[in-house]
Amino acid sequence: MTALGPEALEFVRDRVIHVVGHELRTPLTTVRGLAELLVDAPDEELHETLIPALIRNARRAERLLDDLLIAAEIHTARPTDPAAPVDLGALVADSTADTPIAVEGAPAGSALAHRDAVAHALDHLVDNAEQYGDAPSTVRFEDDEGSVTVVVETPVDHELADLQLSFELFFRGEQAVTRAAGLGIGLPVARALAQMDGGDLTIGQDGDTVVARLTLPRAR
Amino acid sequence: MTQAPRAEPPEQIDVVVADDEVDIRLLLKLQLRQAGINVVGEAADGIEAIEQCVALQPHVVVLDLLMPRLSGFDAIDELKARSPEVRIVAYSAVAGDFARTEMARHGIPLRLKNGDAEPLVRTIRELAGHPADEHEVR
Repeated sequence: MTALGPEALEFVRDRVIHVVGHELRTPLTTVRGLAELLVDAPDEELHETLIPALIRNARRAERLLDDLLIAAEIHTARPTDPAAPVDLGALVADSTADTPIAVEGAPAGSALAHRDAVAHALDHLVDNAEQYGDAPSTVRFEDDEGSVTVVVETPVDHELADLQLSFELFFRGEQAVTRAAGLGIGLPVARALAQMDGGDLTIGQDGDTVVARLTLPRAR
Repeated sequence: MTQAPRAEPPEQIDVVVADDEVDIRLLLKLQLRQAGINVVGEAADGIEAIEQCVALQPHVVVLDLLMPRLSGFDAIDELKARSPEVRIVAYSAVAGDFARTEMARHGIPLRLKNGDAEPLVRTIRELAGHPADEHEVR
């Protein structure tokens, strides 16, 4: 690993604090604001709108904390229960619900993994496909004797020269504070989650299509 | 150049809220409604913000700066050109040097996203030409 000089370290520190601050502020702003409105909310109908939004944003802040711990390889973020058979078809259906992403076919077998970790990784893949794709993605499955793979294919009509840098934490750099929001943490976290279960995540480009392959061990 | 308040304050302030976060739009709608401000339209990106402002001619647009398709930064020139009467307040989760410099250059007030709506409400009233103490912010 190359050691960073003081200026580079300061830049990285500032950038990380900046983007984490940005990503935390949205759910915290919403939680505080909605909770204060709830105090004065006169009718049950409004409660039915406010409470799910409160839970959604509290969960989002919690997910950000999980992501940061996983990205930093903090061991407390790792599951303590053993891996178990996971139906990847069902998890993909959950993650892609309410999106225009098309799911083709179903996996022949189950993966041996941690269900919540796989769901978390899939959510990041779907978020990335939604945010950076120029047309709806397609998801399909590949099976072999030892593994099950979820393949996410996303059409793009712009240059992706830094594709491999997408596994670098916070690599979005200046774009994250001058263009669309985003932490630049989703793909490294998804790969760390896959690797925790003995799998992997790779990203490549085939012409105008970005291909993400999330591979997990197959359950016997 | 700083945006001048509207010369003739409207009786009812109409606002378009532009933010890609659906829950921030929900929060703003409820907070502004509670403050007596009328949210007439919503936009999820800069392109929709321009369309909504052209179509609805609100008094003020609350403009998030980081949005997909067209960011708030990139929407400002077209907003000013196509809807010159619409006043803009930037509303951002982070107000770093880049955002501060850009908004100062455009003469656009920048408010930090916060559960407390009062600073934003006060700015909207000022841009609409309402005296600062005319309404109580609850």
